[in-house]
Amino acid sequence: MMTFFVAALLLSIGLYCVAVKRDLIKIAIGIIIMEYAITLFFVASAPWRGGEDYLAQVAALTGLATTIVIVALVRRLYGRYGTLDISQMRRLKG
Amino acid sequence: MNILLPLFIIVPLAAAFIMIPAARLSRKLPEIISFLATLYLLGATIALYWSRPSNLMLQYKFGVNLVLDGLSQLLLLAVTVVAFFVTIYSFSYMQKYTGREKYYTLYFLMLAGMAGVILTGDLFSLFVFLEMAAISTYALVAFGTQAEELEASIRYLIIGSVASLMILFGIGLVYALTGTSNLAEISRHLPANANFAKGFITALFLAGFGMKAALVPFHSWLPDAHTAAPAPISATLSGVLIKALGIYAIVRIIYNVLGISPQISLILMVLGIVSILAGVLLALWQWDFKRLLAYHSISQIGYVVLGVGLATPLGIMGGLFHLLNHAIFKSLLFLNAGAIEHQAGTRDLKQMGGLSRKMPVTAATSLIASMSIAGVPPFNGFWSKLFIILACIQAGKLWFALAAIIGSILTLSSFLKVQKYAFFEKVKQGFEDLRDAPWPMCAAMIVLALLCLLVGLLLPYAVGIVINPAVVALMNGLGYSRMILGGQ
Repeated sequence: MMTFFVAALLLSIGLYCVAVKRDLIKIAIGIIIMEYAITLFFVASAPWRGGEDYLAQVAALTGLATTIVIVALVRRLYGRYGTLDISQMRRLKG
Repeated sequence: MNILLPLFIIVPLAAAFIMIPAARLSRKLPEIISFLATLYLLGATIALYWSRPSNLMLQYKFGVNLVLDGLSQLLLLAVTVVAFFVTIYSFSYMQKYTGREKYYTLYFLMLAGMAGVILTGDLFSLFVFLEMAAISTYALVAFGTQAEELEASIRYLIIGSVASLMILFGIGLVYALTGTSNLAEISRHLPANANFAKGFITALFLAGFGMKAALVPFHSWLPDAHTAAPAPISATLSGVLIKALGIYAIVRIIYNVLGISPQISLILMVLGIVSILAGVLLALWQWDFKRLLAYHSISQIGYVVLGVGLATPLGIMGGLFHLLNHAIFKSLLFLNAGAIEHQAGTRDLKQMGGLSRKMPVTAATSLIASMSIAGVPPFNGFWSKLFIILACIQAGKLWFALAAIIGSILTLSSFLKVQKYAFFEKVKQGFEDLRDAPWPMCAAMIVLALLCLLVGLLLPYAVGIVINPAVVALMNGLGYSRMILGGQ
């Protein structure tokens, strides 16, 4: 049961991070923490189904792909704006 | 017929992976490959309709399976039609970008992801395909790598990944509760007393897929992403991606897996009506052509959700018919906006003017598309909106019907503004020697405009052959599991 609370806690920390932080790196870390929380949830619920589980691995792998795109985009954005503060990226309005 | 089904995913994947080696051999090769691949996909979809297979399920190793029924066939038709014409359009439009083979690679990855979402019969495979399509669109939105495009892409990416994680969490809960991720088996294994868990899962899916479909409280990424992306990508995003990833997935799960209840139906209808009104009101004071179209996408998706949320046969028919029609006319409108941007170099409606004399094809096709989206008879958009409004009245929801009519009138006024500022009045300075778009772009726009007219005129055939099987699939409800697995 402990693992589920840790997963829920991690999920809330990640969501807080994405919603509140302005630094792009911190937002990226928030998303990654949420990914870890859900992978943990998959792993922790595996014993209910008899222990054998390939879905957790797939979930973790899909998370990796998102992470790569985030990091690549953040790097390009830093090159264009010279800052990582998302509140200063305001070319688009409406 | 059995071999045709996996090819819908394998062909675009294969096309994506041979694109970059092929570009080394010849610069023309990526375009030839993408033309042939999308032509094949379109042909195969029409062949599927031609042979009218009964519902089909194919089972493979590792729990991978594919399911074809009326609903997936409808979505497949929308995706392949839009993909084919957008590819032809891209040949000219993408000339100004470098690294075109990468564009086509990402485009086909997105197509494979959408086809996978539509055809899979497994909740977890659905997530994997959804991520495949979503990640390639994050990259496609940022394809120009200008500041604006990167900014739109990072916003889309942050909201999109939160949505994906909500969906994944929901799938994890379903998996933990039932021990299976097969869509047909889930409804059999859901414990009868797990109402709280079921509600929580429904909420997670509604929020997650709602973000993917850009329903109103979750819509903030859409105007940025659709404005910043290259025009063919905006057309695909708005035309089919938000429907395949958002509407199709949520409708399939709510109707065929979890079961629809009056509460969920009401939530869907309220989300729909809020999207209709908020989208169109925000669209009214936009001057950026593509941004205006993006807000109209939110509004039109609202009609689809309103119709489907009614959960009556007429409502579902109107909603799904509007889904198909919106795929045609909204992708056409984005292609029009792209043609103007390509030739005149502006998206600002105030800077345009008199383009109907300089770009007759673009003007004529955009007039047809505008009348379709505004619901002017006899174009296709009129019929589907009429069905939705009639279904609201039939179900006794007069306020919803009234709101839908108001939304439609505001849409008409917004597109009158577009026509007036962009195409009528005097030709502005600097546009004297403007010419119409190159022929591949014109050809794609003309055929899509003809489709708008044809679907409206051949209404009984369109509804009978394409829409009704999809309505049957949804009205079947939890019978989905019986249809696929057999038995009680």
